[in-house]
Amino acid sequence: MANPYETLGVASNASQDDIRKAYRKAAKETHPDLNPGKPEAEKRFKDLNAAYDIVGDADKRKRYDAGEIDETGAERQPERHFYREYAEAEPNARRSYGRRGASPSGGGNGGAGFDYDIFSDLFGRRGEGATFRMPPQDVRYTLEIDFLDAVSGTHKVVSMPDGKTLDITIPAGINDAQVLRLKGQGLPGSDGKPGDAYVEISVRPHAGFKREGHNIVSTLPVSLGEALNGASVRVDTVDGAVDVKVPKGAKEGTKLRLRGKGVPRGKDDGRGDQLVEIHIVPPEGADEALAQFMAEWEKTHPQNPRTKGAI
Amino acid sequence: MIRESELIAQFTYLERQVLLTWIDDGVVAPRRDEQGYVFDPVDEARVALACDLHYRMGLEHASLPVILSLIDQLHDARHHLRTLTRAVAEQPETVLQEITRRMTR
Repeated sequence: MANPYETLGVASNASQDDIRKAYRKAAKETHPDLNPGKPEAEKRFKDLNAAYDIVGDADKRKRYDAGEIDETGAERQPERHFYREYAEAEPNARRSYGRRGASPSGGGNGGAGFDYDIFSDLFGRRGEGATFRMPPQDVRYTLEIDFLDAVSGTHKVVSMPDGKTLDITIPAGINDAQVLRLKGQGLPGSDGKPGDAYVEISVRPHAGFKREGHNIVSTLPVSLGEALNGASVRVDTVDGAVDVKVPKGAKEGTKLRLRGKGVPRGKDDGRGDQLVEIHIVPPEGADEALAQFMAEWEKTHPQNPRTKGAI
Repeated sequence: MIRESELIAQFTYLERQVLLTWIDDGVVAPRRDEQGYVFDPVDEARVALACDLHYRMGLEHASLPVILSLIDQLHDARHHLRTLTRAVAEQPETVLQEITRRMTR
């Protein structure tokens, strides 16, 4: 998650009052219930809330500034259903709101009070002509996909806020924040031509793999014995596990290259590699025999790892 | 669906008295049975919206019914516009062209 000050668009030394003002201004523009026509508003509003939960509270803000809590230090926001999800359903199925005891016709709410005249005006006036022109509307969505789906490509069927479904083909090797353009899947303008839909891909991080360009980077823990004597070990790749030879005398940080196990480069251009970084895990616990052996061994092999290349 | 106490526990800053005022003012309209109020998911979502508007965005109590009524009208309008758009889209090509012609003129 981003720095909460940046999310709110304020300086890190802004006053509590300024932070509150910035939050309120941004919340007004992004609260999903105040912006039912903007499907992308929800994520931005959640980010804002998470940021405001930290720096909007003077005590939490002090702890954040002091590094005691990070950007995620605030309470997790529970799965929330916004009112707009219900409110645009069939109006008859909804509640009737208004002051209790008032006559039902008194309140300006519920579907009954809706003024259809707008539309009769719009379609009924012959010869006068309506005065507005509506261009085709582009629509923007965000789609979250798994790391492995991003590498190998996938199909997603997504239901849009307006009830229609989109079948989205995600090409293999797609990157985080990449935007797919779906031609003609936006909203039609007054000339009948539809706009386009833009789908921004957000790739969920993977516990074991990280992406660097077209390469995939992972860490391979090996025991001290395996590093000294070499070994054949199973290593996870995005295609499944493969056997990998750890060379005799492998050092901490040595990178083994698994050719072609990376991310596809696009049209018939092969794939990147997987780089497996060796991480030597010392034996667990204190072992007397090993400790004695090392003490003896170091007498004849003095070594000070801090003298060469030390910081 | 949940009860009043569960609802209040869910929104940490919501006070019972405020909730009762909202119900009186018609900001929220929960069902009622012998044991008291019953809040369906739509009511919960509406309370969450009212909490955002009041506690986080600083709106006065008196303006909540006004704002929520406007939001409801907006949703109604969107619902009807959508219904209308669907109905229009099902018309024959010649009708669509005629509508388009009139709207773009």
